[in-house]
Amino acid sequence: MITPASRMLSEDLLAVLCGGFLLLISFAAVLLPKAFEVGRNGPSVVAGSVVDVPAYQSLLQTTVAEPGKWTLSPVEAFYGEESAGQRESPIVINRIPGIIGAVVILALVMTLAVYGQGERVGPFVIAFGGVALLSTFAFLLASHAVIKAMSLEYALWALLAGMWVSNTVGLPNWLRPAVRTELYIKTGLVIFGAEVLFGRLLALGVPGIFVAWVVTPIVLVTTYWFGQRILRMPSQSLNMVISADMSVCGVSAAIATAAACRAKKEELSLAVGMSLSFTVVMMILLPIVVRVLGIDPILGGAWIGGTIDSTGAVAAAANSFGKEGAEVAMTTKMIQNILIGVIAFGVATYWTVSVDRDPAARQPEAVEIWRRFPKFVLGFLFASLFFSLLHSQLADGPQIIKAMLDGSSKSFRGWLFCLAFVSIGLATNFRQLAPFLRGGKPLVLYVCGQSLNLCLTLFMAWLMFKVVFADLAQ
Amino acid sequence: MNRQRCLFAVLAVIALMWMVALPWVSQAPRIQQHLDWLEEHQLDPSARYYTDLPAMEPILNRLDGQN
Repeated sequence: MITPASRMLSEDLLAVLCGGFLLLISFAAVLLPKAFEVGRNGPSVVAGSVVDVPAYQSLLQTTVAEPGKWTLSPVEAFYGEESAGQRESPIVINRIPGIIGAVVILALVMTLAVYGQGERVGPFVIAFGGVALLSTFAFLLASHAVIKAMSLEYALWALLAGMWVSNTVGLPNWLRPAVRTELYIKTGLVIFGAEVLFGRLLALGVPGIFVAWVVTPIVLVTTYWFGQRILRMPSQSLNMVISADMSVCGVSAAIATAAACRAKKEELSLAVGMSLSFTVVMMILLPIVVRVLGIDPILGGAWIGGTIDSTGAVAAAANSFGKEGAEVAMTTKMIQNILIGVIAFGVATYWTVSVDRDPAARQPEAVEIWRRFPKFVLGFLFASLFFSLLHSQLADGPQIIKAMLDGSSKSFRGWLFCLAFVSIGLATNFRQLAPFLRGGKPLVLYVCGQSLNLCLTLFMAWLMFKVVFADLAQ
Repeated sequence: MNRQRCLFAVLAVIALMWMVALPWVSQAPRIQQHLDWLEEHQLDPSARYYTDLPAMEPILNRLDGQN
């Protein structure tokens, strides 16, 4: 993924502009209906019964979507029932207009970016259609109920869908113009920034901060050091991406750190594959270990929340501990999720100042650091801080941000990451992955790092929830 | 020609897995029970971030003071 420095600036800026524009239309789609509203919100009477109408809804709610969950027939993914909460009966949703809408909007925005890079737009538009079709296919594979229950998210299927084409018939020339992994990832990350809300940080008070924000960086730095000094891993970026996805929150952290340290696409693929494999194993094993060891639900929840990579897997694993245990687990994971922005910024700074610099040169000057710094990380952080501010300061901040995320921005982020992983798959040959697995060092790194994570998180959760803040935890 | 055959062979395997094997597996009583349990508790094990998880909604509403 390393690109010439001269070009990186323009691509980073384009990613920030595209991500910012998509966030702007997502935000406007929530505020515009409110601005022109005639009636009032709140409970409405429909057919004699009181129905809760959300105070804020996005205009893009039905215009932007991805395939939904299905069980017996793939048709359900495009036109099927969706659960509307525990108290309400399922509703039938036609997702086809939403899928077409999302692809068309992203095609328009990405075409503008390609035009901004001075490249031909015609071939890109045609190729984008092909990559979007493969992405839809990947979403379809990932949306089967059994696959979702196994925590095997769309990133894996997108990678495999791309590799299926590239390792059989090869990457067709007509698809090549839309294989833009970096542009999709960086734009997706800027949009993702709106979901990293710092106001959620104190959800579990001081104990949560210690479990999620003190243990995690210690594990990350120690694992990276272990990979470099003890295992002597040849690739620093692979070392960092594995350390981050294992200690922070799996695929999302892998994407953010890989982009921040300009890891190779094969390194991101490998880290994502390992994270998903271990997530499945830990999701099944950890609740059993908690029960066998007789660990109480609060402590077990904090332990699982701080160690299992994927957020959904944390929720599934901890739900058997009862309401309190599950809530502690999910909230711990959420606090850890918010760490992504800080980690991405820290990794980008470390890479710019230390790893990427010429060993023979003096300490780089501020101008040089600024020139080499990946600017999209600043876009990601700005989006995070800006939407955190709106979330906490606007009168209806939480409802507006929720309507924006649910209405369109989460879908845009999902599509962009899916397009990115399809692009990685399309540019990856199975043989290219082999050198990274040689000697089994990545596997050893993951296992050792995760073992440290398990021990340290359990100790810190016990110290915080059972010793120092035992009364608070009760 | 061989490569195209390979492409379609993989597609056939995928179709068999996703359109025959997985729907059949999902109908097995124990799996069905687990899927129903996930649905009932609004759990999506494939959720990547906390904003993707429907089960987080009551917690977030409480944090935001929207009980």
